[in-house]
Amino acid sequence: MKMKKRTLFILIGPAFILFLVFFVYPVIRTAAMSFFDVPSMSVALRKCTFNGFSNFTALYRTSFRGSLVTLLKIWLICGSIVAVLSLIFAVSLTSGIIGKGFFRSMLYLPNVIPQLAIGYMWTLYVFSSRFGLLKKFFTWIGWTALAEFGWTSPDNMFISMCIAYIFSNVGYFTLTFMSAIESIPTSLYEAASIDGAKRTTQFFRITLPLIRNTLTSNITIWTTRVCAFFALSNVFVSNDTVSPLMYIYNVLFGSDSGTTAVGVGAAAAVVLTVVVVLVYALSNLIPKNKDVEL
Amino acid sequence: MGKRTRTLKVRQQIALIPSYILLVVWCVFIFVMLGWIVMASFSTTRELFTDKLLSSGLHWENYEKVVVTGKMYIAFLNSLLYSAVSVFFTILVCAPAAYGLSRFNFKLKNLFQRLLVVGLGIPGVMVIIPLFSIITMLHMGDSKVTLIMLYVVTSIPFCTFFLLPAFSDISPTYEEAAAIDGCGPIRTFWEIVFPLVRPSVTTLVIFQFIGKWNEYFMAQIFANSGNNRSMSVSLNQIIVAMTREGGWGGMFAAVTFVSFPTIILYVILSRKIIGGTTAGGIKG
Repeated sequence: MKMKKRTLFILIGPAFILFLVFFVYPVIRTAAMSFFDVPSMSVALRKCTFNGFSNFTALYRTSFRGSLVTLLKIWLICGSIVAVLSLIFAVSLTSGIIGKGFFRSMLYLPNVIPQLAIGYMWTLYVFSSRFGLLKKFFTWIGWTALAEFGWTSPDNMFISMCIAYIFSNVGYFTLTFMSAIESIPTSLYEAASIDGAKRTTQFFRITLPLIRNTLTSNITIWTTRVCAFFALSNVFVSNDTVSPLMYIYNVLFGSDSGTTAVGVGAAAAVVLTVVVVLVYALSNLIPKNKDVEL
Repeated sequence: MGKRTRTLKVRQQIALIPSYILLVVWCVFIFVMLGWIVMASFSTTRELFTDKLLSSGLHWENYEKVVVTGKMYIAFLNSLLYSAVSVFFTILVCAPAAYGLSRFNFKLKNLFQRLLVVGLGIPGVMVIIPLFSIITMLHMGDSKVTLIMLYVVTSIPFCTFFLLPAFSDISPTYEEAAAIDGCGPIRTFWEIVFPLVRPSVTTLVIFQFIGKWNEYFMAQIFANSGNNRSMSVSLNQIIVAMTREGGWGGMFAAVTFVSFPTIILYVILSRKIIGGTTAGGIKG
């Protein structure tokens, strides 16, 4: 269709200009800052000196390295548990369970609660060493060793944080797996049953291969989520619970601001961005399963 | 239903028992957790520690302490403002852009679309650092406008892509008919095309609203002083203060007050929310 330039500008202009000025430009500027010696937030970039990759090498000596390890641990440990749990839930919910709608809503519920509030629900109540749910439960069934477990002691903070994080993520991934499973033709399962295939065999031979596309896109979504890990680091305070975003926050905006040069903080942001962009690019390289239309 | 199919159904349900157990455990856990926290929010600190929740009636003063004295009602209004205004402007900007991209070819189209794709993957910190630097240089401190603008701008890539397929699905005959009747293209868009994509827009509005309501990182940086705090920022501040003085009932009141607006919204809109999650590939 033919369109006057003016009309096109009225339609797309606002989004385009806002995006260029307040998104693209700041991103480029942050990337530039990571190569300059920027001593503090209130120094203009043109007054700073170029120092190549030394911000990145300086970063290597800070606790940012530890925060990347934390990120990787969250990604891998929580990721595998979330994947297994949400697949189990998704398969359960799609195999003719009564009350499917209700269970599904309950699974997704933690997703809509602010993550900070979720964190406090766990630390203040569930993990509490005085009136905590876990303490009461394990005392009741007689597992005293677990009842005495110090969930909120610094050594165990990371595990506790992972549990809360898994809890607030399972629902979303269950829903995505469910919709993928529901689009598999039931005739495949009927044929497999007639041939005598067990349910586990059906899962590994039919379900899993046919939801491969969803699996791939979920890995990308999981990566972006984990890279944005922040709120729970505020609640579960310990050395090994600091996420990269938390590190950047502390160094640039929070209590530690002024101790580390701004350029180093910007370099940390760049590293985080490169990680996400790489995962995006890699997941696009994985060939899509074309013989299934999901 | 024949006898054979019925026994088959029963056998199928028996095979599902482990699944039922798992799901029921999950639900019981959520009910116990939320239920206990709500009860605790009406109890005194002493009752919490002696395991006698609610034994002296409902202590509304816990809520009075955090909502009125702790100024959480301001945080509530702020969060409402941040979410509602930012979602309004996001739709106002992204809907026409998505429509333009779905309908017309122009020189910069490719560039714009590519930038948006890259924008999908870039974390918000990259946008924040220079803005924060400018604000510090101008001694502006934090402000409501900055946060709302950030919410709008960082939503542009996702929201534009979310609405794109909805507009592509609409037949151009609507616009052609409108053009023949002498309706200008901008008016045609808002009055004829936009209402046709209402289902997608509604889903997007709900998700964006909840997303911005729950957003914490940017709010912590740009809305961290007195009357600008959002719900989450205010929750953090109140918990830290109350941990020092040991006001446990108040802490649970604060957690409840922050959690329940979205829970209630979810109960009302749960069908729409669950449908939207799987249909549009919302990244949350």
